[in-house]
Amino acid sequence: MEKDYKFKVNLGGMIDILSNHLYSSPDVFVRELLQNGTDAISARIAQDKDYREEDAKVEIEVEEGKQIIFRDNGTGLNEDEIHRFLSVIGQSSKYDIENNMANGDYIGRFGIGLLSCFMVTDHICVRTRSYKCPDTVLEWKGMADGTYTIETIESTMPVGTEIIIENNKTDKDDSVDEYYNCDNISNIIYYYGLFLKYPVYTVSGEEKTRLNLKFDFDADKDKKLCMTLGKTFLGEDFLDCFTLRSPTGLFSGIAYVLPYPVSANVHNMHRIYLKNMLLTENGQKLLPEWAFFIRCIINTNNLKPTSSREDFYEDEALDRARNELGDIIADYFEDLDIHNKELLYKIVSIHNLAVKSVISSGDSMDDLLLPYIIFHTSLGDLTGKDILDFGSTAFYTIDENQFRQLAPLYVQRSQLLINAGYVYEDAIITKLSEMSRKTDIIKLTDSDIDFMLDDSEFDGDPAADKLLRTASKILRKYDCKPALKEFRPFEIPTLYTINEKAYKARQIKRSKQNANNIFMGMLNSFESEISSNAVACLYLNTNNLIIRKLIDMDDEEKLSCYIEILYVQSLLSGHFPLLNNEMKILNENLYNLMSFT
Amino acid sequence: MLYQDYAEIFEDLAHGEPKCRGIRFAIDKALERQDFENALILYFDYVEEDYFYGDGFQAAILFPEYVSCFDSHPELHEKYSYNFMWAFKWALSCFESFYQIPLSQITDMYRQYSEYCEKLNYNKRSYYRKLWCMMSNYGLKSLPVCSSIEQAHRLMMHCPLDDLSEVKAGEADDLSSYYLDIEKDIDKALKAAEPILSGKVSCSTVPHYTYSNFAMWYFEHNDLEKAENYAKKSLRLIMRDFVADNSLMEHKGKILMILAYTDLPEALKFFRRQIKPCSANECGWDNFHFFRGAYHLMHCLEKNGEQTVRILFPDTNDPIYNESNNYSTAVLKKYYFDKAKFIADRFDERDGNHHFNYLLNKKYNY
Repeated sequence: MEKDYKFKVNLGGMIDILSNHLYSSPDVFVRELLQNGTDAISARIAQDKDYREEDAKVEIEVEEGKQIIFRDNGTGLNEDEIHRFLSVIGQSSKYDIENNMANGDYIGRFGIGLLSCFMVTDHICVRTRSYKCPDTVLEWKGMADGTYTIETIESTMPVGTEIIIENNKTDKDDSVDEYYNCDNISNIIYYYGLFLKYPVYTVSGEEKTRLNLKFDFDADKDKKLCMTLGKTFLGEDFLDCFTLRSPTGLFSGIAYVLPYPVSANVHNMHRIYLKNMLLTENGQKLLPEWAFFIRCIINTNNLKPTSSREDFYEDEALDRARNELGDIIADYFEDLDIHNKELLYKIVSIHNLAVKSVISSGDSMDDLLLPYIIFHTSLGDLTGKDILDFGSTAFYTIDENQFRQLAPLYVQRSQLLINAGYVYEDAIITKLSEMSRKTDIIKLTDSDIDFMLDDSEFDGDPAADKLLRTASKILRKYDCKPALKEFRPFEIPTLYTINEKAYKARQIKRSKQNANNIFMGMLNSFESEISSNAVACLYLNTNNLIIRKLIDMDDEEKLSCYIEILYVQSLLSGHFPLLNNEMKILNENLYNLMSFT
Repeated sequence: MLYQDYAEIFEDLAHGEPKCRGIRFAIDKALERQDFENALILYFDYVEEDYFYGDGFQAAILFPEYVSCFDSHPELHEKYSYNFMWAFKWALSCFESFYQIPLSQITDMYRQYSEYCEKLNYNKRSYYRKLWCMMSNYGLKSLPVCSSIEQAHRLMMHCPLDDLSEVKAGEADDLSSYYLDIEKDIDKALKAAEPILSGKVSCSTVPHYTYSNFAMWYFEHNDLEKAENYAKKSLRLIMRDFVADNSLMEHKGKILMILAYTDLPEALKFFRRQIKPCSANECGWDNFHFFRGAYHLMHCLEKNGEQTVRILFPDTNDPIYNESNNYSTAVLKKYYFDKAKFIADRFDERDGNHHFNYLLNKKYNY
């Protein structure tokens, strides 16, 4: 027979888990109490027509070493609300009241914030006068073992709530005592609540000190203050800052441009506030991925935090926020182009990589930023504008090794070869070529290389032909053809080039040298598909003394040694992966040469 | 040398071919130094790079070398078996997406994966997952190693999650795909995808995949509004994360096809962004989907009265290339259809079915 059972919950144990294991540090109890106070005030503003926003305040009174009192003049709670919301874990009053007012006013959503106080006390006392029944003051006392009491008390306190925490935690460590200190509490409030909407004071006797700023997140109004905040909270002397304001009200804040280059892989940490309360110092997900040269202090009212309050859910609102942030950054660049070209140039120089990322990810800033981008070329570092103005054909390669191999040849001919092997550059080069009116920007092919090299004066010479025949015989087993050309610098004896198909064929050959039977079939299948257009070529530079010497050499055996050595040497200098036997060949031939003498 | 010293060789290079070449160079450096530990890490990096940003060809070719190095160093298995098995999973996806590789060889490689699972103390959840996904993608009713897609899925679900399982977002996306593609149950699929669609879980390719799968479902079931909505959501994420390379081609092709019928200007814009990276793609699976999408785009342009279209055709050696950059939509329609058909015939021949030709010949009367 089926029986119904109910889950039993060890409340004391649950409180221990919630308060000691969910949150990263006891500091958060201050945040939670600030949130509760702020939310209560927001609720009262929405509900109580006689209440004025300019009267709102949160006050904190610390009796050194003994107790902390948090006071707000928000809605307060009646008895029913106390039973429902303070004593039932997981039920938040803010959820109910959401039906009557804007969702945007409530920070805490999970109803367990108050319990965080049990990290620093065994005993929470809440005194409250609800604006709905102002004649009654209630006192709720909750204990760490999960029990609580409620009673009506005599008190002259105004409408609002007082939360009293005493320094009576059993089994505490020394760090708990540190919280019962005014300076410490002030620092924590400053850390979490600097931008809270309502004034937050510490109270000591008659003296009241306001801890938070009245701050609009507007860099245009007070750039100096914003730069100071950036230095204080983000720890850098930034190049510049600008306002972030969402057209749809999703966020507001300040963006800061880093003064040094950063890698695209670095995840910048942003200081994110949720409804003016610090959510995290380590927010990463908010900005578009390409904006890695920016850090920000930003406040949002409408994005949904995860339950640990350290990140946001990946939903449409977050997506929209990112797009808006991207647009704002684009507007900032446009504005600089009009009003401060010098700063724009400085930013692009420092953040070349980031700006390339911006361009490759969209269309909006191509015309503006492309001329400022720096490219690594055979003729040194050139800007996009330099390339656009170059005036004849510019080649580019996405193979960094090929660039390094060929750049000296292009320099000698004052021809432009662009290294487009770095992140984003292939896409940017495409855009540059679409923009270009004076310069043809085309991708380097084997025929371009061949065309660039001059015909050799030894073409048709019998001795040179003999060298070519011997070289053909030797190099055939490496699927490589020799050719005689002249090129500068003279010091380069050979140049090895390989087209895409031949490169893949080489890769397959290499893999086959190590493959087991199961994979051999697969490799053979691929190999059979590589067409006869697979071409590798070893150009012998007849401007070079070594090659000229080889032309005059009669000894076939020695000639073969030299050709193989030059072949392997050209692979090494081009950073081509060697097959298993190729390094061995180099050593063997060097040894043979020593035997000849 | 530390790993970071090797990484400096390639970390600033562009994703795809440039980075693969850089990693290849780093691998050779490590092998020269007999630094097998870093070599194993770099082999993994290479496979990962080509799998996510390339067309998988390089990963497929290099993988046997990786296996050989891994097998030769059992003392490193405990530390690097996790990487190795993940790379093997990706390599399997690469192998099956090239029609050049016979099905029998692919099955053998699956068997070998299964053996490694046993040898390295992993359960077979990932093996069964790969199996059902492959069978679904290629229209295979059964394989020598498995009698049906449903059986593979069932066996997968019987195995607990382990280190080789996908992250939460990936698992949710898988389940949702299964309900869409195999059980044809949209309600179950939506329920399975709830954590993804609500934003609670995500990963590098989810919800990109999920949105595109739902887009395709609604497109096939005559709900163009929802299809467009999901397609654009997927497109937004793809443009953010994967626009300039060969990744997610199946999904890009589907989005292209759907947008051709629902938002022609957007489809054309997307096509123009993708045409260059796709031109260097050697993978049959990737190309089939892109060419199919391109075919539908040209079909819709033609139907819409656009006799010509301006595009920067990347391959100047292709017979269709013309310097004016203006192309007849009718000519391009045939061009892309023929290219897709070539691949469809090869896959169907390999797999002994008509799956790809069926996909290609589907008509949409929107």
